Order: sequence, then structure tokens, then C-alpha cells
Amino acid sequence: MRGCAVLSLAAWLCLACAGSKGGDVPPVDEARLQVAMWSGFEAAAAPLPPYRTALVVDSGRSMSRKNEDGVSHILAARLAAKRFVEAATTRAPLDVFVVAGERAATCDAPTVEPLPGDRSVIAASVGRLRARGKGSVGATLLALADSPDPLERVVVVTNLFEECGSDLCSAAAALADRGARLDVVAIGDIVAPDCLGTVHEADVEGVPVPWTSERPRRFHIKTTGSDPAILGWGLVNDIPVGVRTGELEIVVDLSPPLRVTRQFEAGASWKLEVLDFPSLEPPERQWRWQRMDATAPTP
Amino acid sequence: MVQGQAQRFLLRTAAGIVAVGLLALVLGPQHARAERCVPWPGEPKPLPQMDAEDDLLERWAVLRTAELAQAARELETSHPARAHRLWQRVLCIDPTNAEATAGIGRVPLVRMHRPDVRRGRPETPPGDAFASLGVELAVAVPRPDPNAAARRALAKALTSAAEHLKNARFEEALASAAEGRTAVGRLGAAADASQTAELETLGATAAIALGREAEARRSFARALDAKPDLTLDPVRTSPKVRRAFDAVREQRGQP
Repeated sequence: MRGCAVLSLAAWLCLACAGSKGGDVPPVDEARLQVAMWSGFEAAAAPLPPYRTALVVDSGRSMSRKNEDGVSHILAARLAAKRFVEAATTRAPLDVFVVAGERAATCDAPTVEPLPGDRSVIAASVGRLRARGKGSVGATLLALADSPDPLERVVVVTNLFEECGSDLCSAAAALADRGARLDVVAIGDIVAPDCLGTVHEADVEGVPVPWTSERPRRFHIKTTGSDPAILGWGLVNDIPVGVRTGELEIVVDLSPPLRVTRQFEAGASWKLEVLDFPSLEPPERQWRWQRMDATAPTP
Repeated sequence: MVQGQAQRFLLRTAAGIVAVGLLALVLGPQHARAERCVPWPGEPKPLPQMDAEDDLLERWAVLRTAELAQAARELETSHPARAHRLWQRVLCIDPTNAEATAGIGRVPLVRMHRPDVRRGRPETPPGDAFASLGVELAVAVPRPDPNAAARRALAKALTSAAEHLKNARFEEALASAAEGRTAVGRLGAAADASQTAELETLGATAAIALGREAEARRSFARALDAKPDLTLDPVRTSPKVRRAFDAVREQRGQP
């Protein structure tokens, strides 16, 4: 027995706790009903909020290296970062993090504070970055993955020269687990580690299921005929409830409601199984009755 | 005898390692997929496949993949990581779904961009921030001045010549003027006319102070070559120097 979970409005309708054991048999003057449903995404779900983006700019001293055209990595990184900031939509939040950039910067602490100011101030700050000090891009990305605010997209501008020994692939995997895509803008000739091409989300716990309602759904049990009355209600995907014998209408709380009738014989156990996919074009709903006791075949 | 046993042991060990490796190769991806394919809240357990024996669960699989694919397509641009997750989910239910495989290829969780970096005038990037990530970076960097060293040498010679002259070290002033003249020679046409004229005037002044009037006139001639409209400050220039300068001008037909 897992405990009583269902109420009844009618005194005679004993919604007995049937438990999960298959051997339970309803009393001779009543039947049992269970409703199972697998529903898809909600049709009128709210749109997803604008994605939050983080831009990480490597400003460590290795960025002072120059390409064969005499252009330093930091100049290229500044331009890439500045044009990204200026082109990024203002409808979605954007935080910019600078790794190193100060002579005193060391590998000890990742960058956790974004640049202050509005977009124009941030763009100007990015345009003044200098290649100084040491800092870990990987550690900063890991810190972002641990951030309480969910991130959808992370862009990192770097020459892939890791002075502080952190692992970019681990950071990318951590971001993937949090549901964030990583865009790496590589400046210079350093080859990206192969593992970046095989990153996938490993964490399957707590995966956000978009637009799936978690509110418990009810079903009502009604009499049929010219003057129908509600006899009781139960919860979808919960334990079976006891119902009186005779013809009853089951109304499942969907939009629009699902209404089905059934003749309940004494001692019988019935399960109503429902598929509901309201967001599909066109929406689709299917249902069937399953006889759960072994005394009769399923119609 | 012992050697034979050792060989057999090594063979068996090697065979075992190969077998374990093959097993890992075969089962590794399946294990990873199984981890990712744990039913989400609200999904049937175990997660039904497209070939489920139960008609309703089979239908569920068809509808669920259609729904996931529809949402994934809509999210690919704005929320690529979520779209990736949804395509992965489609593959959990329908491992041979070609559209999902292509979708995952379109929205990888890590994207690499390696824009070409060159010297040049920055161009207007594409309007979309993410589309700009792989676009060439034309960086406005001034080319290094090939005459920078000669310019520095000339500036240094001017400063030191003026300093020596001020302190009545006329020989040193002449030496500095000579160094500056060498720098002017290296600069050629790139030499600044005003600087050349100033340098030669300092040299002429030092030469006159040392009684070397011919040398002074040669200096003034070079100064006027560089800057024909050169004039001397009538208040701060000594009469002796002014006379030498005027003489050179007259010689050149400049009143």
C-alpha cells in the first residue's frame, strides 16, 4: 500500500487505496479505475526567455604574439569581441568577462565579475584591452558553468594558449551539461584540442523539458444520462481509485476535455490510457481502455 | 617449460585486453546513449522505441519524435544547445532518424571559428553577432615606419646640438650636427625640411663661434636648400651669425 491519495465527493464512492500490487481485488460491489496519460508539449506554452550570453575575452600576456602580418592576437581579439558586443541583440542579456589583462593577474582566481556599464561602455572597454598578466580561460568557463544564472550561449575569444594548465574540453563539457553552447573564436595558429569536437552533455539528471507541464492533472467521474452528477475525482498517473458499477463518464482535464464512457462491472479493474500531443500540427490525441484484471479480454 | 607457460600467460593476457577493448568499443556508445536516454519526467518507462510492440507506445514514439523535431527546428538558431538536446532525444527514441543526426551536426555543442586575421581597414561585419564570429578580422594597424630609427637619431641630434650650443660646447655641438646630418642623409626625401634647416642653423652657429666661417656658410647653404624661405630671429640671433646667413642668401640670389 502506498497510501490513500484520492478523495471522493460521494460518500458511497469509496476511493479505496488500491495500492500497486496486482493481486488487489476491488470489493464485489465496485470496480477500479486508473488513468494514465503521456502528454506532449503544451500548445500555448510561453515562449522561451531570451538567451543569456557570456563573452569571455582572453587578454593574457600570450595574446601579445603576432601573426605573420604583424597583427597581434590581442588586436584581433579586441576587434572580434568589440564587433560581437556591438552586434549582439540588446533584447538578451550579455555579460563580458576579461581573462587577465592586468599585470598583476595570476592563474589563481578565475574571472567571475563581468565588465560594468552599458553596451557602449563595455565595447569601449573591450577596445582598450591589453595583453598582460596571466589567467585561465578554462577556469573562467568552469566558473560560468557553476553560475546560478542559466546560460544559453558562451563565446570565448582566445589564441588557445593555456598558461594556467586548465582543460578547455572539461569546461566545454560542463557548459554543455548546463545547456550552454560554446563558440570558440580561435586567433592564431594553435590547433584546438580534438576533444572539443566530441563534447556532449553527460548529465542526464535534471534535464529541462521545455513546455511540459508538471502540474498534476485530474479526471472526474460522472454519471451518465440526462442529469449527470459528479461522483468524484482522481489524479492522472496515480494509483487506481474505486468506482461504483454501471455506466460512468470519465472526464480528463485536458484542453479540450477528454470525455469517455465505460460500463464498469463489479470487481473489474480498468485503466484508461491517453496520449495527448496538443502542440503538434495538427494536434493528436488517442486513448484506449485496458482491462487490468485477468478475468476478461481487453476490448 | 616455464618459458612456455609465460608465453601462454602473455598471449592470454593480450587476448583479454583486446577482448575488453573490443567490448568497450561496442558497448561504449550504447552505454553513453543509455545514460542520455533515461526517460524524462512524464515519459513512459522504459522509453519506448519506434518499433515498440505496444500500439499505443509505438504511436507515442511517433508523435514524440515529431514533436521534438518540430521544437528542435524552431530552436536551432536562438537556443542551439536546447535544440541539440531535443535532437539527441529524438535519437533516443528513433536511433536511425536521419533528420536528427543532421540536426545534431548543425547544432554542435562546441563550434570552432578561426577567422582570418590581416592588416587592413575594418569592414562592417554581418548584422548578426553570432554570424560575425568566423568573419575575417581586418585590423587597422599602422605599418612600422622604416625610417623610424633615422628620425629618432635626427631628433636626438637636434636636442643635443641645441644643448651643447646653449652651454658653449661648440665642438660637441658640431659633432651632434654632423650626426644629425648623417640621419638626414638616411632619410633622404623623407627628411623634414624644418628639422634639417634647424639642424644646419645650429651647426652654422657653432662653426661661427669657432671662427669657421666657411663651414658655417656651407651649413647655411644646406639649410636654405632644405627650406628656401628660412629666416633667422633678428632679436635672438647674433649679428655675426646673421651676417653670414645674409651673405649666403645674397650668393644664392635671395634678397
